[in-house]
Amino acid sequence: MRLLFIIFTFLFVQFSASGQEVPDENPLEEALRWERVVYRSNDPDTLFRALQAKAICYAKASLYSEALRTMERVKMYLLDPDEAWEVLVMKAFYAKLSGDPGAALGYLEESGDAGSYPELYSVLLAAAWRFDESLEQALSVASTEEEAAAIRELFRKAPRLRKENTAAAWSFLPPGGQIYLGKPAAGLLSMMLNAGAAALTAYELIQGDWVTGLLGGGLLLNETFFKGNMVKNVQSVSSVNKLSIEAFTASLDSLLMSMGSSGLKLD
Amino acid sequence: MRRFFTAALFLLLSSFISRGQAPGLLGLPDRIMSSSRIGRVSARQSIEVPPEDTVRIDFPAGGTEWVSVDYDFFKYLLENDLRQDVRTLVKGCYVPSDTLDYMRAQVLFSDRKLTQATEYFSRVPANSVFGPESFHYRVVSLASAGHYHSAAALLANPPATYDRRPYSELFALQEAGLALLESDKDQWLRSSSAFTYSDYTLSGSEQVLSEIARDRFESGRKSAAVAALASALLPGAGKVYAGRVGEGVAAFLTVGSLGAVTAENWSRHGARDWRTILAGSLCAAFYIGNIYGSYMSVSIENDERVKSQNAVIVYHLHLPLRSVFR
Repeated sequence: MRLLFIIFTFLFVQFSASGQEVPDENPLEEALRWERVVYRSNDPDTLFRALQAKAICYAKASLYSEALRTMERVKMYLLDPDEAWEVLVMKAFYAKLSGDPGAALGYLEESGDAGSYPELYSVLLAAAWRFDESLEQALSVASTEEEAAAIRELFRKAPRLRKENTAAAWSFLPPGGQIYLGKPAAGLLSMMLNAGAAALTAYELIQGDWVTGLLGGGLLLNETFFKGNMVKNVQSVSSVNKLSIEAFTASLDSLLMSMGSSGLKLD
Repeated sequence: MRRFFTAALFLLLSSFISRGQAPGLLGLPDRIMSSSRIGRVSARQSIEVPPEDTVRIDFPAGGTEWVSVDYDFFKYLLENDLRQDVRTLVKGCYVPSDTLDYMRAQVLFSDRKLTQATEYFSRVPANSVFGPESFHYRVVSLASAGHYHSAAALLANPPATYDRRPYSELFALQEAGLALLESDKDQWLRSSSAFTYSDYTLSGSEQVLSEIARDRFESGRKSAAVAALASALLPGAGKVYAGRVGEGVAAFLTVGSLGAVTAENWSRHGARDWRTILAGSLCAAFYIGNIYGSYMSVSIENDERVKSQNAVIVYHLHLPLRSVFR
């Protein structure tokens, strides 16, 4: 469906927008030719079609950020609802392909027809940690019970969204924070270091070496407990979330594509 | 026990020093203190100038069309920041001309291919309509690549056919800017005497350069030796002197705490007890590391200041060109 829409758009632009013949050439040169059309024209419809064609040229050259930037130049207030829908869907694709799933989800939902692209919508929802809605969309792609089961199985293994406050709270009891972040080996090491530092501090205090116990132990625990454990755990929350959601959406993407979908790539 | 510690410490230090890692070893305690939460208070971000892109672009040798018909389109692309299109445009096959060289030079300059941009600007003849602009862009391109002396030499010897009278104040601005970049006070005084501060295309840049000159030539620079001495007298004081208050407080607390721990162990267990030796060694390492770090901080601070000022100067050598040659 999506591919058909893109092909239709491309052919429509090729043969109807400006009446110019565009020979088979480098997509970047072709993009420049469409920019010339934009430069010379004052007709809103021609401008829209030329920008759309130019964006497709950039997409053919795998310059998805440029393609998105080109579509962002389209003046939405001059478009009728169908054209606005086309633009938003194209923006969603280009944003996804240029590595910005958040923006892609925004464009797709703004189009008011996100459900027509369940594979893309499902992946984008998953990237936004909206797993219930993502599962619903993904299941609508499945054509057999086995496929639905595979999707459910994948979602059972969906990552948890880790929060900085929770990571900090768990870090009060090493190796709680590291286990919460899925790093038990690092947790074990941290626990041993902290236990050693705490034992040394306690030993010094019991011996009556108050300055060594309080100041030396404080410095030591600052390194092992505060900096090496709490701060480190809180700082790694965002990277752990990013890595886990990227791995999950990649799995979902390939699973949905293997189910006979036309795929998420324009070309 | 003590002999074992002494031998281990000796071996460790010898290993570092023999590998030429002594500065790294000295700087380690300083890095630990600077990276603490207190140490990062008032930390500054340095200005990063993008590096020059040295990958050359091969342009086609010739064609049958004249690029001058596309000049307005080229300007439209540049003004709308359509960089990908402008790159594609200048890679087209056109009849060789000064306009084509100028356009290619502009694109190369905006892509920070400065060496190649200088080469293309230099191809534009002085009597061309793009001659004066290309000449001044060539100066900026050389300055942006860090070749201040070559830029100054070029400005001092413009092509014989170039009439500099309409651009005399721009000449003065660029000469003064390059004098600042080379920290040449006499040349700065000579060139800046031509500033009128009345031409709206130049006055902003003239004022910025004058402020930088005041800071560079009239304000005293911080001394690395004073910073080191201050930290030797009071740990952290050198860092505060260098403008890094957070790092200074962190250093004071760390060295002070380790000093207190050493003192306690000394009084309770004696000077030869391993705890005294360990705490004392750590205290000495952090104390020396702080002196070294304070010395380096001032040097880095001075270098960073000059670097960020130089970036501003180069920016103001470039800024007026678009308005002057509009």
